[in-house]
Amino acid sequence: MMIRGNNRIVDAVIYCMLAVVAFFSMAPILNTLAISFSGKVAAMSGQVYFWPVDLNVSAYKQVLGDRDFFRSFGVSVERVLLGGAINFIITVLMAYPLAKSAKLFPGRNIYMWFIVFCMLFSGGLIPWYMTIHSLGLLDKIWALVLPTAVPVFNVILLMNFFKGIPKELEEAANMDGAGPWKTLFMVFVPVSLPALAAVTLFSIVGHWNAFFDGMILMQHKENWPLQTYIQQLIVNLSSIMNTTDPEEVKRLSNISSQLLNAAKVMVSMVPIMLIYPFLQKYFVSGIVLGAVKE
Amino acid sequence: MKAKALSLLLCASVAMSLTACGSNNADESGNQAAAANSETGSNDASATNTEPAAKDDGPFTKYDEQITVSLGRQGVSGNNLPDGDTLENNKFLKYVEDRLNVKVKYEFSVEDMDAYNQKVNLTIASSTIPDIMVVNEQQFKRLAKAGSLADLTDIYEKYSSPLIKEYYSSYSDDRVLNTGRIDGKLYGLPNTNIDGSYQLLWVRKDWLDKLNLKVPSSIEDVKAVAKAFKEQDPDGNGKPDTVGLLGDKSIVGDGGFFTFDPIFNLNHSYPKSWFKDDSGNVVYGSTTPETKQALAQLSEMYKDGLIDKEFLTRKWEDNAGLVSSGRAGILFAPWFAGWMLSDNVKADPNAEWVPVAGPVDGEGKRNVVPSAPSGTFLVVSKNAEHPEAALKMLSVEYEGIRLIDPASQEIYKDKGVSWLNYPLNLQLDFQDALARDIPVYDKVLQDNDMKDLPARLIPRVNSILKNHKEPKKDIAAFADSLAFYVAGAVTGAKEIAKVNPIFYGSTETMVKRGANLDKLENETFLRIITGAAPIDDFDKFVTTWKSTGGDTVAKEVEESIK
Amino acid sequence: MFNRSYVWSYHLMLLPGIIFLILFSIIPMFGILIAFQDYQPTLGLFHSDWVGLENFSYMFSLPDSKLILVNTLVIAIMKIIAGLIVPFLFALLLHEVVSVKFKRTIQTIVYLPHFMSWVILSGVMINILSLDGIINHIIQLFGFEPIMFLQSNHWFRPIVVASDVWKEFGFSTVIYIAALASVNANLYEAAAIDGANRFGRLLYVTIPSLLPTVILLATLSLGNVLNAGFEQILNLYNPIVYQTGDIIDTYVYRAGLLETQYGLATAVGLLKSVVSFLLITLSYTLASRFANYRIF
Repeated sequence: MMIRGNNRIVDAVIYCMLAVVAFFSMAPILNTLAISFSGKVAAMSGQVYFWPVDLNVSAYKQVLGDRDFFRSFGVSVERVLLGGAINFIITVLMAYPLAKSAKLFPGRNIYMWFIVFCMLFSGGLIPWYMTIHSLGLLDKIWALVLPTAVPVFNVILLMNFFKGIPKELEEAANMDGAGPWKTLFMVFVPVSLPALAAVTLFSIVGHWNAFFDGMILMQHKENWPLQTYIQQLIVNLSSIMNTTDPEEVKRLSNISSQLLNAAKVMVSMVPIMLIYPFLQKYFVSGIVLGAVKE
Repeated sequence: MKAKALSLLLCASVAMSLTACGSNNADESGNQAAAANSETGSNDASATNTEPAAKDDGPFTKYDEQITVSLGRQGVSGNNLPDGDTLENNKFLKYVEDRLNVKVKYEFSVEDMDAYNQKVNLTIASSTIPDIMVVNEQQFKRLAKAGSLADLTDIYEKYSSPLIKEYYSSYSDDRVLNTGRIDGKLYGLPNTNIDGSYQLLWVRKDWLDKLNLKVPSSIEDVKAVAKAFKEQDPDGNGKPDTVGLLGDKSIVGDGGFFTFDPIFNLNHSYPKSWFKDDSGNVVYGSTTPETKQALAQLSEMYKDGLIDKEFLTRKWEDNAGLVSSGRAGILFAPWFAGWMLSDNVKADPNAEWVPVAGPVDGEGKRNVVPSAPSGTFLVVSKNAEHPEAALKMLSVEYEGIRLIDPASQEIYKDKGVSWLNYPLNLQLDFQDALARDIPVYDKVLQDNDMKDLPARLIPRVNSILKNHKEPKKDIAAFADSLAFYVAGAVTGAKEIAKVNPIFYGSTETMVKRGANLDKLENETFLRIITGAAPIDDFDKFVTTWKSTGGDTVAKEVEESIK
Repeated sequence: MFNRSYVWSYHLMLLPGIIFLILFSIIPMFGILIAFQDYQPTLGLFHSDWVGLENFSYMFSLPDSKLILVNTLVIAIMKIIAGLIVPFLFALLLHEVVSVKFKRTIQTIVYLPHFMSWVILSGVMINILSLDGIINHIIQLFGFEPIMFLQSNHWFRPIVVASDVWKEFGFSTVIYIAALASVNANLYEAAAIDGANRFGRLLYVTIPSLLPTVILLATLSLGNVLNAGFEQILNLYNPIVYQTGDIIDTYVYRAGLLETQYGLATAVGLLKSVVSFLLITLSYTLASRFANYRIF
């Protein structure tokens, strides 16, 4: 491992700075967490900071009893598994040939600029919707994972990591008779675990956080992913202003519950908090390259 | 004799209770036919229908063979259906389906208003609209212009129940239904916005008493109360944590919470509405000298700390939070704020909110601009196979919503399920729906007798009675009582003076330039109120407003009312 | 070395991705034509009237177009710069930490705000920045007058930029951390043997190995030069700060223009794409010419 100086003061300063930054990052989550465990009036009055006032768990009880919430949760899990897998395969498959120079792979530059072009230009929401509609994908889980199958940003990222892998590795593999497929999966993938963990994280999180496509492409509430469901809950409050129907206003006044929403947001974050440490382990294991003696 | 008088009154006013009325009452015949029809659901019953011509086919006639209707719907937020029922599969829906032998297929259902509009726009843009949906004014006009809608003129006459027609005719000059007409043809069924959604002045009576203040009536009273509430620690907790009058950054708006409409109206200023001045010119309410005067007044109040300093950054729920946590005791809001205020009473049973028709002007009047007659439209696709199904479903549905059909009274009884779970979410009611029931409540409280009440009123009357017996014991009953009864009565107070605008809706330039003009207006007004700009910026605003499209809009308005 | 059979494999590897891009990206691009039309849904793409550049000229004829464009550019550029520097510095700091546990905890914490939507975060911020919020408490502690941050044209942009960085920096840090994890450990050993101290290793090993990633991210982020953060600003602004905070997206949203005027909406989108494409191409060229580094 690396040798470090024992400048303790520098270390202390660094630790403190990081801790302060971490505290500020935690603030909104702690605040939401505190609200989710508070009483309704306290939550609405904006007097809750980082500690619950009138501690109670009624919001969580309600969330755990909410069928819609869990159905959407299931849709999201399905989406992440399916979408994450598709993204992973496509990213790896595209990044490898694109990491070749144009000499080794004529046509590489054409592909590259084609991809960049696709990333930057779009025909707008309506033609996009019409295309997916005419492919018969509306309201199906495929509508959430196929249009996002190519994560261009991730491809470019991974391609750059692949480029940084020493040529000797690949040449050695080729000498041993390994073709491109074998080289990719037996040599490139194992040595790029940190980068793969990063792009996988991005695609998982991207799928987990996406709400807009769910709203546009899913016609029924049952098929909404979790973030679409949550987004709707929170935005709903403002629609009180848009109705003059007495019964409707009455109902809306009763459901306007900040703490319930806070509880839902907290629960929705749990899976990501569980997955992240698992992926994290690959970020620190960047010693693989060191094992190759030149 | 008394009971008889009451039942007659009910017949005339509620016009849907069959049980109490004699059949000699002419006003009743239509409804009776409707109700009789609903009970049997057969063809021969429609012989007694008001329209003999429709012998074999009327609002309630069941289809011989099942038909399918596709529907786009805004969903029900916070829906409280029991037993795993959903919007797309519930007993209200089934009731309508069974009575008409119709199968409703939901093309899409989303809850949030923006999301719903998005969906509707996408279906319009991609030419895939469902048979029936409810759209806003702009979407309605666009669809009609593109020729995508079925002409409902004859269908409406033939297939809508007498009750539906009565709702529409309760608005003078057919002004609601007219909003659904284009070139004399009916292309959409408008919803009806009932009277009384203007802001009342709500004050905490317990705080007034504590500080020895009287219930405010004039603007001077309001100022004094706001000042006292802010400065004299009305909650007695020893901390300066109370605020004065609450506010909202939308400044004015029909049915808006915390908006300043009453202060403008007091000065005879009516921002965002269109009028004719004394010489017959079309004038935009936001540009009048009276508006300048009201802004000066508001700016003064803000400077003196009488208006919540931070109203610009408060959202609806923030203000509601200030109220429920007992930090605010004076605000403007419509009658239906009763439910929001009940949160405060729940937390603090001493809290006592009273609604007032004020502040009043020099002549003792609280001037108000009546709501636009409608805002949403039920439309039927030109390609729908059974366009009449829309009217039939609506007719059946309203028999259910108003509990006219005894069978419908049993569905989800006492479960408080929203009527929005019926397939068509078009809100219809009498113009004076709010005020007309007040005497009924008075009467019930006086006699403590619930006999002869129409079924639809029973839940409300129960709440009112319950709260009367044990005030504030049951918060839900308290809230119902505060809104429907106490505040509902104030909306009909003698101080209320209606000022009718000459125009509702939007013109072409409004759609095109509206964003600029609104931005200019809101920005200027808020800057003046908060003291970021001097009051004389108002004159600049008027000039700019006129030159950047306002004059054109005014011409279009003039054109449209000819 | 060049190998023909390898090339066939390369084409094959790219095939699935290319098919998806054609289906979901290229086919819908026929919609770009709408930018030059007065699009009427019932007439469709092929029968709507052609209006040339009218949608574009309308866009620039709006009285506030200049102000809105300036706001958008200023906020977006400030965000791009801060969004590059902060995660970079943070990753360097984190890299200096020896304790794996501490490192992981910090890393987990700082990226959590990424999972909260602006609807929630804006509520928290309005709370914190209010007159009786924490920040103003501290300010008053030092004897200053409280500040109404969100009603101040002076403060609005810095707040928007700072809060955006606050929400997203932990996430961008991930890329740098992954890059650092891939640095050949031998380099550090070699530097240590050469007698480089802590600062020297930072300067001669860590930073140079991160530079390609910085250039890559900088280039890609240029694609956002006209995206100043719609959701965030929509949830934070109010009419008083229109002067400094109203951006293209919020303006278009308020106008409801996207609902009714398809041509205009597409024109706005196309303009954004073209500007991004030009900037990215430019920086690609610069990077390859002066730093001899190819991003793509």
